[in-house]
Amino acid sequence: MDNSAPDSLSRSETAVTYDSPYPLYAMAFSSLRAANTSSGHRIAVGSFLEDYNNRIDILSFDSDSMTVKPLPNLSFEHPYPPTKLMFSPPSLRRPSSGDLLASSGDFLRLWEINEDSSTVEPISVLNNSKTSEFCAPLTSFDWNDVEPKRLGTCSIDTTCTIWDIEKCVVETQLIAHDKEVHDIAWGEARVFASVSADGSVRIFDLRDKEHSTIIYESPQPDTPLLRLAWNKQDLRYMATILMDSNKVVILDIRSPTMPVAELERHQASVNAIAWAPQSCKHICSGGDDTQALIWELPTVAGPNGIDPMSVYSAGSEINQLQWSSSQPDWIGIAFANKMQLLRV
Amino acid sequence: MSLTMADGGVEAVGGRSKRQNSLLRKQLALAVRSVQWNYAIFWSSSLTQPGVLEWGEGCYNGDMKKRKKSYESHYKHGLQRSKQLRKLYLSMLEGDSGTTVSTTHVEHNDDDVHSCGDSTTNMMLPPDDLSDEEWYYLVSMSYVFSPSQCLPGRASATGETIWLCNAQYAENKLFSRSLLARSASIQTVVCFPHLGGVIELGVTELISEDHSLLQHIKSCLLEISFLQKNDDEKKMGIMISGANLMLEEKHQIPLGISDEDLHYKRTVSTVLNYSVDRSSRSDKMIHHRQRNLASSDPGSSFLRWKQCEQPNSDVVQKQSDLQPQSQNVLRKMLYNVPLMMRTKRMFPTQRSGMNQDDPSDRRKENEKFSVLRTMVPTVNEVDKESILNNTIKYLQELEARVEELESCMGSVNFVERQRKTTENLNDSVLIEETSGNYDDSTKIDENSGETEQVTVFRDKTHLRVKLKETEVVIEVRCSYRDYIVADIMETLSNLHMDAFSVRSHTLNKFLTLNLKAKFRGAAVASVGMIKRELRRVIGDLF
Repeated sequence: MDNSAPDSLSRSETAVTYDSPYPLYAMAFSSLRAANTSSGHRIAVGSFLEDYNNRIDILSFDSDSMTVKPLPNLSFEHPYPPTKLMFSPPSLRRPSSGDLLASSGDFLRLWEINEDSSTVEPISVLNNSKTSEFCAPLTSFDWNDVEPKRLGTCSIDTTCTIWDIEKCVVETQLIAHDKEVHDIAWGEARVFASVSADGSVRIFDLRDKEHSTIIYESPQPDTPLLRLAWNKQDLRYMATILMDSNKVVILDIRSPTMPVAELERHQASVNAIAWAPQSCKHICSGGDDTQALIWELPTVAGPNGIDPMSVYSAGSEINQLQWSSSQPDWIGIAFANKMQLLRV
Repeated sequence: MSLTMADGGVEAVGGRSKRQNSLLRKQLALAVRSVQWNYAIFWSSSLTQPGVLEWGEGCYNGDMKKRKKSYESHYKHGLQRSKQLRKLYLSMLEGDSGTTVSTTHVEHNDDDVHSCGDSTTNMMLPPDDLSDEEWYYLVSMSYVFSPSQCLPGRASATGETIWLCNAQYAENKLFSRSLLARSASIQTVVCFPHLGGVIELGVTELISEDHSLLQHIKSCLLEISFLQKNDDEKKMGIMISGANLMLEEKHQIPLGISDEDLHYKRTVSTVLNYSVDRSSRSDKMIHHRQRNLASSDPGSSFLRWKQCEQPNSDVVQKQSDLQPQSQNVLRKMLYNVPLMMRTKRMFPTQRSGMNQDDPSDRRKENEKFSVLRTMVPTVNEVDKESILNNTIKYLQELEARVEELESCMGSVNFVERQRKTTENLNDSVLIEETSGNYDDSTKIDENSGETEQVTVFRDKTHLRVKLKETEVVIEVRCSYRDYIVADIMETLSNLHMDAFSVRSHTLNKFLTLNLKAKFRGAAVASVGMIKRELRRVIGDLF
């Protein structure tokens, strides 16, 4: 834990790398600026060890000096690899400038990083099962940035659970799909979408929990959909990726079942997607071909499909990709044991 | 709109405008055509007598004499025929009551008629030319229902959908037109309340209750209303293409009716409305951060994309090579890690301080669970609850199997379920083939295909009774005696069952009888009781 990353600049002069002692998967950018002297933004990275003992490290990233370094006091243990990490959205008014971090894995857990970055305190462990001491393993979650006390988790027991994290109670639990739910994304205060191993993207509205609408189904039946990203700048569009597919499927919620675009320039399967936080037309994707591609979605696609705008080649397969919403110039990628920050 | 003075029938349709009527007619036509049923009727509440339902609108979509060829014609043909039938009815009424009826102009609506020739609609149908179904439709026009009377009355009173199968055998109280239905071969009738009245649809086939069909019909009744309504509103291009709707720019979507399809419209409009609000709010914020992503300035880590980086064939090659190992980490995250969490829960070894009460007992219990797991066919589940569930299921299956085997026990070479083995053929064996004349609904075995090879052994008495919810499947094989079939049917009747499908043949004084029966009411006889009674009738041979 203490072999901190040197402030080394990696291959490209403008990429900032953090070397971790273990493989990384989950990653999150904080929207708050830390109040202490390092004056950088916090980044949380979660380890990926197929074991009970895993860790979450908090790093501090200073874009001016282009350095990233871990904060050893803020490294803590996490049972099982965290499947997703997320800081609280800026709309959550917090009394201090401490950060609130949520992690999913065997349970949904909330952690508080206090303001002078000295400690991380676990706040709650949220279990949505009334009968058992265990809840079904969570594959992902999303924090509603419009209604920040609302958080939705999805799990392999085919359900999605909506939490009120202020009161730490379950708002509702829906059986979302026929098979395991892999990802969930909020569109609006009460509307979310989820993807599942049954190959469908469904939209739910909390005001009408009886019904859901299928927006898209994978062309080969039962091809699992692995990840989902809802464009926060233009809520008409969503992106999803399929298992073993090099395509990024762009959907328009106004025209269900027909994707508006299929971005097919990766040379291997795609692992992660992230919409640009400040632009409604840009999306970034990373895959097994070690490349991260930034795409600009045109209004009219050419006959040969859409080409990406720019490309970055990492050292190995890119497993995670996050576009910082507080610093839209930077994209974070995780591959092997490294976490890299790329300037757009 | 003109009102007629005919007895018992008021032509005005429930106070709705002409436009609404034609709209409803189109909706009925669309609905009945899309599901390919025979007719659709809208019973509207009478103006004169509150609560009473009478003929409102209808669309006939069935067979017509002299036009036996099936044609996928435009729905307006159906409407035409319906109109002709209506006119015929009214003229018959006129003939009865003797009063003049000015009906000829009531049905005409601009949008209906202008494309189909006037001459055909003006022509009166000769009554002889009507098919049985048309007669049924015609005569239905004369019916009036007081509240809770008959199918439409009950649907209106309870506000629920009624799905009647085997309408031709229904009791008169339940369905007063059952005799008519029998002559017209109408087997399924569905009624559900709609807009203050009741919509009724019927078909000459036996169709079991299907919610998706109902939803589809209901959505048809709404679809065109959207089209109509929004024609004069802002240009909302809502195209009806099966179940898909494509919305153009506008966000204001008229809502108010809760329906499954409406969920989608409502959700999308919420999201888009919010999006509009949000974009107007964040417009100011975007400007100052408008960094042109296209220009890869020297500070960027990314390189500009070059066209034809690698030809596609390489992509395919590489992908197939990587197939078994692609998305490794992601797959592990989604599949292996949750599995690991569950497994570790079952056999907690690394948890400190959690299971300190009787750890050895717990371990033993866990061991026993894993033994059980190996004995019972499970699907990857490792948690205790699933193992127990699967065990229960397995035991139930085994019990059913045992019972079945016991019932076939008397014979040495009992007939296999698959019935495909012909290894045990000898002279005394009959091989029967049933041809495709029997429709599939009477098939009892799980064989697919139209001909069925049945290996039967002579003189082997056999009785099998299977109970599936309210349906009983009975198979009898015994030596024939006079009136045995009648006796069997009487026995069933005594057990409060009605046979609806019977297949029997006799060969060399040996009877083979396959029948399906339904319980008349709530009282259900057990399999054992049925078997006992039947054995008594057959002659108690085993």
